[in-house]
Amino acid sequence: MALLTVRNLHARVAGKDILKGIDLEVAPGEVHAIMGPNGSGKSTLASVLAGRDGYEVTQGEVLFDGKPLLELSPEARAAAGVFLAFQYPVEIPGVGNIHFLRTALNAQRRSKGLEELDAMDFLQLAKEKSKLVQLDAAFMNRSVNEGFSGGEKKRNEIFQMAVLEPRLAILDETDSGLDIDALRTVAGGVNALRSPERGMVLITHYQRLLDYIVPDKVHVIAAGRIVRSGGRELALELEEKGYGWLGLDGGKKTTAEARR
Amino acid sequence: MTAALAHYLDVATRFQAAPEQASAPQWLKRLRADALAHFERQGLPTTRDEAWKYSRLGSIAEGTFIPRTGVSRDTAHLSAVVERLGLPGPRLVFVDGRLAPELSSVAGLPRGLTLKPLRDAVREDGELLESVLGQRALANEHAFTALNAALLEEGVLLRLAPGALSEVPVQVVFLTRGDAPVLSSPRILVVAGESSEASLVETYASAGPAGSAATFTNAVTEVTLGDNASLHHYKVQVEADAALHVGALHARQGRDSRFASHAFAFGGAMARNEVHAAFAGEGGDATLNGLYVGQGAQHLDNRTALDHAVPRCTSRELYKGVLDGQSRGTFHGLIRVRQDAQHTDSRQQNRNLLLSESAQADARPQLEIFADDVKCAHGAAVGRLDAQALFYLRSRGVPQAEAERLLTYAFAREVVEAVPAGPVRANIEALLAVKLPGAAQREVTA
Amino acid sequence: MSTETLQELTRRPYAAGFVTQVESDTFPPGLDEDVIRQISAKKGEPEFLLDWRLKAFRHWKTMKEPTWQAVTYAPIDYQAIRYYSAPKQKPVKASLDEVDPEILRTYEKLGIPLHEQKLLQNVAVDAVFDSVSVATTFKDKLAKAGVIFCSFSEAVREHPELVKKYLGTVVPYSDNYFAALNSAVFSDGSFVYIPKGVRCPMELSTYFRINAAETGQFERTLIVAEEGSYVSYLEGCTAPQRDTNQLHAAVVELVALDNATIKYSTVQNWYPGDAEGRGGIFNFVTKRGIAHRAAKISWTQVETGSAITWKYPSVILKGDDSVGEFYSVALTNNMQQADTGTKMVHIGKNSRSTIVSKGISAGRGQNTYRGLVKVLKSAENARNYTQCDSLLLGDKCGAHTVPYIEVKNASAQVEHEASTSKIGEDQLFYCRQRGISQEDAVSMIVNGFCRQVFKELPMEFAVEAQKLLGVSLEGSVG
Repeated sequence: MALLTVRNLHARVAGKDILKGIDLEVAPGEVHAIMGPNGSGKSTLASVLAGRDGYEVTQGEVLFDGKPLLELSPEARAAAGVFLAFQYPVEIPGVGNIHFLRTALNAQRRSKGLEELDAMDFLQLAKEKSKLVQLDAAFMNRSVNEGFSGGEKKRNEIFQMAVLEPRLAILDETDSGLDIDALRTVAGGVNALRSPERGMVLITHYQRLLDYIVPDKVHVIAAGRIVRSGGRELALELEEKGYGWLGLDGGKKTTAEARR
Repeated sequence: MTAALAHYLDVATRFQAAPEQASAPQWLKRLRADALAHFERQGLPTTRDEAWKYSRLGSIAEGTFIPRTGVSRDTAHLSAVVERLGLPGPRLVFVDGRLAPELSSVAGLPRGLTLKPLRDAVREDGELLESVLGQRALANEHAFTALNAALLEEGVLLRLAPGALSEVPVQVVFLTRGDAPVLSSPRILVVAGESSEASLVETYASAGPAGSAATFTNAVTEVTLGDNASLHHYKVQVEADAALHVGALHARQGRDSRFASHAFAFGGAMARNEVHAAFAGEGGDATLNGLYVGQGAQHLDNRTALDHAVPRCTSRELYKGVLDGQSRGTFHGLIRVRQDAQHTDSRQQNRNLLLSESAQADARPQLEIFADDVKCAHGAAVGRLDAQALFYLRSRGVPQAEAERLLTYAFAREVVEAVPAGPVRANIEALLAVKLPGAAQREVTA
Repeated sequence: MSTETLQELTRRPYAAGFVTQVESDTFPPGLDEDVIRQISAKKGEPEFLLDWRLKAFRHWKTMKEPTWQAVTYAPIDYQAIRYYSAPKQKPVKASLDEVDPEILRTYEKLGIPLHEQKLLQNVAVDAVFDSVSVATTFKDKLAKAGVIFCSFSEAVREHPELVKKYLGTVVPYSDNYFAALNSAVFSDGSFVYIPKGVRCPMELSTYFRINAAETGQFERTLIVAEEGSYVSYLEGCTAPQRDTNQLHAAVVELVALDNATIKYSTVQNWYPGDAEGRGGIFNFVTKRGIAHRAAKISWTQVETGSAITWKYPSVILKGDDSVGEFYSVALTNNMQQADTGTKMVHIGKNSRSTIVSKGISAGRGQNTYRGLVKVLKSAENARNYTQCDSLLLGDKCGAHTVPYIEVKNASAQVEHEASTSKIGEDQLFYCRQRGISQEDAVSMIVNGFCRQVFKELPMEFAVEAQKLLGVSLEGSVG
């Protein structure tokens, strides 16, 4: 059975239709890449799946593990195993990174009827997982994302994902704004978290990510619809030709981009 | 009209009318002519201009500087100077504002990178140049930019294809010989495609013996970063004591792009360095760092301007000054956060260390914030060496002079350490050690 | 998250809004020299004090109410205020048994038990009810250490030389409109004297309660810390829920002599008025300290109450190596207005000051930070660090930051940081996406925001402050 099923999803933000009939099926163990030009609806899809306020679903349905997802609160979705790596990870001054993550993990464990982890056990777990993205111990005690560089914030997202062990990870432009070294680290973390039980949706603006994380399926989204799906070769085709050949107005050009 | 203004107008008019310029493309001729008109309208700035309040033009305002023509020849003997200043790798070298082919080499340029003299680019990349030249650095807003554009001929185009990666830094070196009052007006253009990454080092130095004639360098750099592109820019200005230097860098940053500017101002009687960065797409990140070290009667003038025009961009600024003798350092940092630029995160720090009674520093942070969901911080400080730290070192047996040098270097190194470890940093450390002699060498290499 | 949900989250019941039924000795409304003479007579004051009051009153009459602050209110009719109200009882209490049981119950209800057996651990309390001090605990224990902690009236009777020496030396009666008014009509307050080299063995605290209607509260606090001494002092404030505004114009003077430390903490929870802005206390307060050589004065305030707050706890850094600190959390909700901040005046060499201001605005609340950092020519190597953070809950509230920096000595280091952020969408969603419930997320974010200030409060008060903010921001989650 599919882990995530999106059927004819329509959604609007501030009265404006953004998603106009998205269909998507992600099986456990699969990594899907969703690409598309600015304003195509990529990040809106991520926000709707995670339950961000202000997004109105006007049509369609989303099933997670065969059960309706959209009626759940954001925290209930998280507890069910949906994780969103934010495009712009949020700073929470005064709240320690480790305190935040333990609160989150224990809230999720409570909702599953599991025992909470005490501070010592949690610290052990966090140390273990932090190696994955080379976050050193100093990050644990700093406030959530506060004063982190762009690369550190993105690594922190992957670290949280490693600790929370979601069943479905949605990575919203996790590669944007990263220099090549940081991109390699983040991609390494993501690759290490691939597993037969876990599905992943990589939302990206830049083809470059797919040089480091090889997806099972690639989708091109434009004007709120998936206009093309295929394997890895589709990404290569996009790199070569840009979005223009798909007949997308306002699509980006590859070489002329830098001239603007 | 002042005599100086008349002089520069005359110089530029002659240049534009010279026979060898007849074959220049129409768009370039028009650009130069418009720039000349803008320069004439604006005139040379005075301290009455807000942006030049703490500045002094020195002999720039006396108007004796004249540009060279043609290609710089007989420069082979300068290769030792270039070696000392520069790094291995591709570079273009200019002497007295003119390309020096003997000293230049673009061998070893990574795939996807183009580095060529501007005069070649005018012929070969006309369409691209037309779309970027003068688009970032506006001649109608800055008098010296207008003067540079009116005399526009020499310079560099660095172009990065989408996805191009350069592990080795690209260099441009500007030398003055000091045998005549030369005016150099280089223009450096950087055009970086999507997801490309590179480092560019601009070095300005004098090759003449001590006591050489004053020279005037008026440089303009225009940087256009595509989406997700990254540029580390280094400006190393170690010109002679008599040199006059005005430099302005303007960067326009696409979505998710990173721009890091590291400006080191060690030389010149008067050196003004401007760095302007404007965010044109969300998710951009700018780092503007600077270190100015003045002695004698040096006047080191720094101006930065960050334009947060779109949401969710981050900027970090650290400018430090070390001022000895009767030198004067100024820092004027503008951060503008426009109404739409929510979630801006901006920090600016300016710290000055005065090593003598007559040294002077002016710090002028200027924050203009029109958005309501932002983080902005600024700090400015002017101080002397920490008496307690000095005493502590002396109590451990370190002689006073050495203790002072140690603490001074410790103050300055923060800016150097913001440069990623590698040959560029090692080179800057070496130049700083020359400027601050006696700084513990072990500290330098540690 | 929608604005409506945020509004619900910020709906706050005012827990201290009850009225105590006691028989009071209350002056009729109005103010003239006779009223001042009567106040002075009630208290059996020495001549010098009456003279001082009258001088202050005459000066006040020449002054105009300030208008520069970013708050708006209907004009105050100073002739409609009662300037004295005291519960009827013997002026000097031999023991707590003589205090009206109703009043004792009032303090108990507020969480401040005055009975010895129930006393807060290691905190001495002076309870000020309307215009007078009704009880002071642990006096004997303090006396053994040489510490004087008593009501201001008692200090005037028992230690007139100390009062005469220090009264008005930090805040002269001519300082400002409300300070002048206070100097003329102040009725009681707390007095603290810590002898040379003594570390005060316990926290000292004053609990202010306005009970009577139409009265103004004008208390005056004076703390003198002799050379090398240390004291930590706390004050708390509440008032009943009433439809009319009441004026509270207090003056606090701190004197920290060489090497002394005074830590002054406030948890201010005067009645803020209702959701439509009816009623509530006008909290117009002048607080200032003088720090002599290597002395330290630290103000910490958590301001959650009052319809209008107008206060700038300040430090005159007179001595070399002196230190001034100001840590503030100011919460404005509904129609509340706060214009608060500090003044750090650097005179001594190497004087240092730290300002950390956290403003939280909810509902239609308006919050202004107004701060002055002044470095005089003499203040070689002065240092200041200022951080102003504003948190907006919803989109009908406002936050304003007005820093004034005057530096006359070039060796000074002055740093300023400011942030304005909106809680809501981003932070809440981030927490909830990680599995944390909305209520937990709000309290986590607000407490995190205030952490730098809360950690400056003594333990008992930190808990109270957190609870206060909790009460303010909790409520029904829709």
